[in-house]
Amino acid sequence: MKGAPNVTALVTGIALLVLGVLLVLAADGSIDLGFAYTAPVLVGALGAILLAGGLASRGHRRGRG
Amino acid sequence: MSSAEPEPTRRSRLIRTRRGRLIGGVCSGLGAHFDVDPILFRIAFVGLAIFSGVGIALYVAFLLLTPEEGASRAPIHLRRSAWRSVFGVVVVIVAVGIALHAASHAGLGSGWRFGVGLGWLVLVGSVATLVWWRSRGPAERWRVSGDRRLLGLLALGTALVVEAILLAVAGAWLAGIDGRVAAWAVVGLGAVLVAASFTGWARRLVLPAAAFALAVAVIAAAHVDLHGGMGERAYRPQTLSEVRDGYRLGAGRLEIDLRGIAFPPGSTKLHVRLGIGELVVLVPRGVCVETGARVGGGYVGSLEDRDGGFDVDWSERPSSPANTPRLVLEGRVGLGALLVADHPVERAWNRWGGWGGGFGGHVHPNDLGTNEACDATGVSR
Repeated sequence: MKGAPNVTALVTGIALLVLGVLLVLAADGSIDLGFAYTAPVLVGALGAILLAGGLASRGHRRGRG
Repeated sequence: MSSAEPEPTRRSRLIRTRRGRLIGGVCSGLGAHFDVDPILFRIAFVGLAIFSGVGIALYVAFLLLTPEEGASRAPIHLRRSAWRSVFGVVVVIVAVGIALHAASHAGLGSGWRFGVGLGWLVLVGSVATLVWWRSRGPAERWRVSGDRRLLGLLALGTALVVEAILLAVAGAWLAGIDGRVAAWAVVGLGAVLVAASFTGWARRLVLPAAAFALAVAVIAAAHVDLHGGMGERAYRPQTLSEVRDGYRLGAGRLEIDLRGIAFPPGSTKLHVRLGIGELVVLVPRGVCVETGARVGGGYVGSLEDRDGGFDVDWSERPSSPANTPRLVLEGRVGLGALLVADHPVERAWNRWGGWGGGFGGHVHPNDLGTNEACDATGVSR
């Protein structure tokens, strides 16, 4: 085990957990998940993953520099 | 042999040259080896690539099996005895390809191309993974063969992309068959990624896991149901008793031709369902058609009206004179098109103009016919 987590993987994992819970609720019929709701969730998750990846690599470069 | 006899000329070893190269130095190397203009080899490779795709495979094979100028070994170095094994692998691949072709025909009907395409993806991914595996090694080995690292990165990238595509297909299929299991699989993948983020191998999982989840989400959002098989189905009932209560297909093209039926006065209900693809219902003139449809993503065209986009809820409930035959059509399409017409409709692929066309087609409402047996339209979305 390493001390610092891989931020990109961590944020992707959290995003998938949130998305998965929404999909489970949709599969159970608790919510109706059309593209109107799914698209913002997906785009938001993608943005968060890219942002996390960008910030992590910047921090990594600074650490090395 | 006496010293006066001339020595037989030895052709130089085949290498990928650095001078005159455009990509990997394969064509310039072949040109130098056979003492002809490399442009001839370039034309041959491009021609083979365009017409059959073999050119790309051949080029990659030359890239992997011939050493670069100045390097002692090729990126993949094969001993003389190993060539027999390579030939054996090629023969096995051909055998798998033939079996895949036959199995896809038997299992998927007219959707066999999907199976074959998937098989080729698996093959490309396996080869890329193998090349990446072989190209790994300490940095000093890369110096021996200058482009070994680039080759390794290309192979790794190809393997990751193929892996992501295969997982996306698997996710889409699972979500179309059992949405709940697919949703729990996404939750599980998320948990694994969170746990793995504290270890060294998490980064490798990000792209495949995201591709799987994205496919599941899109299929769930479009309410795609892949039950009912795959391929191309056409039904042409000639009497009302031959008409089923409903028709369904998982993926492909479903056509129901009702034009040969004499519908009696009053309402006749019909349910049609398609997961992904094109659903066409051909109706006889003289019947008032009432259409209710839901399309997750794609296009609805019902005789005189049409609509497209995401989450399309279509309701066309026109009134009709008494004793007019009435067809009440309830349709669901996950991703694709639902078309109601009074004459045969050209296939979506042809309407789009193949790869050069755009999604949604260019079907003008007049192309589908008229709902002339009805009094007035009552379209709502």
